[in-house]
Amino acid sequence: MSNPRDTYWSIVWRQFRKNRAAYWAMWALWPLFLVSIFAPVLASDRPFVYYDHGQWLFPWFRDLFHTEEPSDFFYNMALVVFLPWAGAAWWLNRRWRRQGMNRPRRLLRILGLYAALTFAAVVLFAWTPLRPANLYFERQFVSEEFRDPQRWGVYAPIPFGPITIDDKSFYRPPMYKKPPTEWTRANDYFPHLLGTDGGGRDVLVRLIYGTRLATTVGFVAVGLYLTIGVVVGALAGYFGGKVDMLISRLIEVMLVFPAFFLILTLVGFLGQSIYIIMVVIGITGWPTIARLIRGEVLKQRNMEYVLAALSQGAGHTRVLFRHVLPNALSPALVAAPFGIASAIIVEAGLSLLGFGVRPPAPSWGALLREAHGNYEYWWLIVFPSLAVFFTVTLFNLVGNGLRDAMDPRLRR
Amino acid sequence: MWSYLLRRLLLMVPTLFGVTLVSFAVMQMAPGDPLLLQSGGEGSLAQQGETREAYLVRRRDLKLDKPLFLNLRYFQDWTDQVAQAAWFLGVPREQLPEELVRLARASDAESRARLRFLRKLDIPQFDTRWQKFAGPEADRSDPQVRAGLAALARAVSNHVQVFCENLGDHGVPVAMQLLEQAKDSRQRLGLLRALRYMVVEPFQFTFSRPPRPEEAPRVEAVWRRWWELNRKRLGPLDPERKAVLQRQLQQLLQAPDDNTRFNLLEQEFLFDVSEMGFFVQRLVSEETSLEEKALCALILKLYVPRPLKLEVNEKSTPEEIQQVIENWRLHYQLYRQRYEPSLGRRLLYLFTDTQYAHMVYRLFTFDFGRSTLRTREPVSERIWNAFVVSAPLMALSQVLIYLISVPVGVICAVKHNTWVDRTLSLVLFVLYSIPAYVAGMLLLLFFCYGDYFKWFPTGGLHSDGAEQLGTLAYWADYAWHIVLPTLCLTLFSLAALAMYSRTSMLEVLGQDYIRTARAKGLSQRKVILKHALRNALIPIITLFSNTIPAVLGGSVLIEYLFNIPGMGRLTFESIENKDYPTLMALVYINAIVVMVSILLSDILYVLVDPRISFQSRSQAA
Repeated sequence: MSNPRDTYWSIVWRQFRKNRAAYWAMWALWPLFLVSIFAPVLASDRPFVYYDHGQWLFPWFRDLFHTEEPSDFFYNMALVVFLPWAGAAWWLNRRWRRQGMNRPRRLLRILGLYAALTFAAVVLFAWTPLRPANLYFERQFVSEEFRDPQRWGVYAPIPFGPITIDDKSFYRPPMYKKPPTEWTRANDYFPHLLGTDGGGRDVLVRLIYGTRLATTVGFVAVGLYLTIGVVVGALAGYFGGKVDMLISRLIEVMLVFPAFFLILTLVGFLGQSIYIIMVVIGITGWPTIARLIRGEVLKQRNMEYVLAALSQGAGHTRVLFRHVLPNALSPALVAAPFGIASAIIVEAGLSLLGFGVRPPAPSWGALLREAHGNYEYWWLIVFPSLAVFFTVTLFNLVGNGLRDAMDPRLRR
Repeated sequence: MWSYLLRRLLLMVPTLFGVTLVSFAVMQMAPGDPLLLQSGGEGSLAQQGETREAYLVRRRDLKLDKPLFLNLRYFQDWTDQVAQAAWFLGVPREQLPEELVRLARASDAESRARLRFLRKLDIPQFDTRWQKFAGPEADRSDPQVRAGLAALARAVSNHVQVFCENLGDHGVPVAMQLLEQAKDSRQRLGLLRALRYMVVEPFQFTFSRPPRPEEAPRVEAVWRRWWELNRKRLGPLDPERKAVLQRQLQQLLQAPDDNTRFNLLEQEFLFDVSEMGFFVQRLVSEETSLEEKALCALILKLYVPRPLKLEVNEKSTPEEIQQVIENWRLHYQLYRQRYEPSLGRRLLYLFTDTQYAHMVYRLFTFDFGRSTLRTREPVSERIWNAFVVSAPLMALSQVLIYLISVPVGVICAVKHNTWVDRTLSLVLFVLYSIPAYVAGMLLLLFFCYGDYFKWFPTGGLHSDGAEQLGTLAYWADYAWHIVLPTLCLTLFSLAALAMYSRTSMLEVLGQDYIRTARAKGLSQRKVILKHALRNALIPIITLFSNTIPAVLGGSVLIEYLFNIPGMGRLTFESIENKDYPTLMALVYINAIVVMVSILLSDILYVLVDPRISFQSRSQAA
């Protein structure tokens, strides 16, 4: 039974843990993020270390700072700061535990630190001269004379890149390995575990890198529309009157358009880029959230604590954002995991229709698109489908658990 | 109830207005000129195998030459700008670079005004190019500078042309006025060229089909003028031939249909241009019927393809120019109303002659115009054809969804927390997490392309040559084709509804009146079906509002995968081809249907549940 000292969130957490499927799904999400962050460590055709006639080069590390996709750059920065952060986290955790800080708070702070570090690295390396120069832009290390004993490299466990074209192995089935007579690259000894696509690119590697795209689209788009929806809905619910009428009309108008239809039209017109997809999902998703928040804020604003805060001289901004909103946020939070799942579905669907990110960016939907019309390449359908399915299932499970945990009617 | 309905309907008006605004905004977001984009990127029109004239007609059809929201053009004084444009058009093409250089070096007021006009034309990088190629520092001996200057001159003349085209009708009165005052031939030349760009089809030479009486004066005037100009050259007609012509004309009039008429015209009756006077006389005579007039005009146009000269060039003689000016005067007289609207009309045009107003008008009257594709099919026809294809499919799958998900939800609720409930819930959850298009691809892979189970066709709705099959076989073939699409549309969308009905049923089963019913000793069957289910269905009815839009809108991805030419596929194709009118119509129809079905489900809600009255709902709203 609940303890009177419990905070709302500790109650929710306890409820959430009771739902075993949701709990495990939450843990299973961590590998997804880790794969996203560590994708270059798992798979890359750039050697970690390269020995070239007495010279030691580090092409892999330099390559981290020069990516084609912005989401890749972001994740690479997260990878670069990972080790410093892990050390700092271990030290800070020990220190804070001695000071008697409780666990959720420590966890939150440490995760916040990671986000801040990543952000700092992105700013630092994207827009300042500190970014390591792209020295080996022209070089293809794998295809340099690999039988030369004076040249060798240490490669990632899967030595293939996500967008490097190999014109000798188009559409090869899983476990395909080039016959030794055809070897021209240093990584040709390695089998394509899940086959290759129409550009001779390894499907497994593209799936791994596709995780980055999917999670980016999911989180950024949902973050965007949660922010818009919460702010707009809160304004409507709190101030009422004309503001409410205007915003309610706007919400109604936006809800009248079928979401996927609108997204498709906008993306078709505005162009193919990950930014545009995220923004478009963002601007089409906010009305549902705004409506939920508006209802909740309407309920809260007539409560006595609001009156108490106002009578103590607190301004409307403070009352709304410090007192009312935290109490009205739960429906929006419940919607978040489902929203991420559906954003991932939408992104893959857009790519399948050819309106997604521009090829050769590795997206799960792009693989499906390649397979549409070439159904004999079953591995291009089965594996991306599984990836989409598992990711979506995990987010849906977490969402289910969160919904049940936050619903007071189900509390036991 | 009526007041509630009225209130809801009134509330729909601002929403509808918002819908048109949003659709308009969406269409505006598309970059560039849709017509140019549609015919393959921005480039010269000559490459696209389409005449400039046809392009302009289409552009005006879509009202793309109008301002967005507010049309101030009827109140502006265009004299200055038209005069400037005419000046640039009056300069012979090969002399334009020289003139530009002279302009750049002169500093009198007139030249400055010319430069100001050029700056307003939005020529890309005008200022830098102007400095570099025409300015005083430009080195004329450098071939690169000369090439740049030539390109600049080309850009200037193109942009002046576009300026005139966009100005359209607004410039005509001014140009006519200037033409009357014009002194030198160069100015006249420029003005005549400007007029040619402003007016797309100055004259109407034939009647539309079927002919309308109000067209008669204009058509007659044109041919009368032609006859006046050519009378002397062609000479009089002898009465015998006249009688023959009269007979042949009657014969043509009595022809049963257009085909025979054209055959007669092309093969049997061969006239001579010198005989056209007869047809002009028939055309302008008052006792001729409309049908006959139309026929005469058609024959005239057939033998005199270009009756009135409207273009001039540097080689034209003064007489020719005078003649062309006379022709333009005639045009101006005939269409005076269009060019000089009354003040009231101009005030009206302020808001109604805009892109937005035209779009709203089209949407409200459900007149969506024609597609911008080469085929120029009417949009409503395209949409109807697609609707007929996808509606049965979607309706079938929606019915199946309800038929499956409600019983499943009820069973789950009744067997709450038993293994039945757990298994069904798990299955539902898995179905919920599979996107329909992923399932579609997997099904296609295993059941259509697979090595073992080639059970179903790979796409489309009918086999080749299905038309020759008997009725029964035809429908069997159809059913065989729609199995997989329907499966995708059904199985992977029913989970949400099933879970919803499960929750709803659970809630009802926890109510007191269910306990009462059980205590009365009713059978389980009766309790569930009569007492619980009917109440549990009430919230499910609200979800009904999702059904109609789904039936109408089709499913883009499923229709894409299975190659079904339905609404979803139409949406996809019109986005891909940037077919604005179709897309606009689709956006609008979808929105309207959603709106209406929300209203419908609200009404249904009240009708089904006696506890809720319209009063209480309108208070809540």
